[in-house]
Amino acid sequence: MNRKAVLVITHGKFGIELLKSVEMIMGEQEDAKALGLQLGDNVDDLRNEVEKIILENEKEDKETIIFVDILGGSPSNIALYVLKKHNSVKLVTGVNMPMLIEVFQSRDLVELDELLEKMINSSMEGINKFEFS
Amino acid sequence: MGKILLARVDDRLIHGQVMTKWSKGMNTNALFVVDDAIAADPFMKDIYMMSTSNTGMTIKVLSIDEAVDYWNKENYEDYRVILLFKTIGAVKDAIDKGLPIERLNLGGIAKGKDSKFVIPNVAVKPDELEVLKEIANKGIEVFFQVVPDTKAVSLKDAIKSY
Repeated sequence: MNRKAVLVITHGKFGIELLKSVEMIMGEQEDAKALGLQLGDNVDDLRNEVEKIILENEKEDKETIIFVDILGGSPSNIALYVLKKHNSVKLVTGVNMPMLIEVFQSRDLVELDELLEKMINSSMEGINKFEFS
Repeated sequence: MGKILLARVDDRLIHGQVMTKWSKGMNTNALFVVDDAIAADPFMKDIYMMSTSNTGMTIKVLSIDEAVDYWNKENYEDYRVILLFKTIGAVKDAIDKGLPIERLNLGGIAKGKDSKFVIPNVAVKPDELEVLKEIANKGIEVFFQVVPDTKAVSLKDAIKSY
């Protein structure tokens, strides 16, 4: 089974801090990176940085799962670009804490497609409404 | 008959601000990216189509000439459209070729060598400011604004502080 690397890309520091928060729970993770697009940043620079990471991962036979905050934003435009160009990449939108916890728990246990399903399910199960009646 | 609600210059074209802020609230049902380079590039075209696949809006990527032809022949059907351009020069070209733009929003232009910020996120060069004046002289409302929740700066005020 190929090793699966995690790359989170978001608007601002959200993804960078999210990864730190997840590591508070899961411990420090290998093959996990986060990048943020700050106001005024050049999108092409960020895309080059992302592509560099993908190529490094490919050299080490790793698949890359990219997580972005929202579909249609610049981070997702970058991710769609590399998704189309590189077979080793998968993309998931709407990154959140249960999603990343699931990926770190299960990435060495199941194949990529099953992992994506599990992550998406965990995310949805993580959203609940509570009321005291 | 369709309507061009807004033309926007934003070098990132379709992205979060456009999708979540501008396209809602104006009863928009279509976004047209007007850019010769992307219209000729199936790879990039696909990416913009995919990035908007869950919005329910109609997305088209057109060259300037295609955008003009489509207006002349079909008046954009029933689309209420935001047009997205990468550069001020491209909008000028489209207007000169007859696209009936009434409002022009400058929403995102990265700083280049000779350009100066008018509002945070929108930098223009002196010669581009002249082009904007020409556009405004045709009766088109030209304003600087990143998202609808922030204050709009008129071209007149922008010139004063440039």
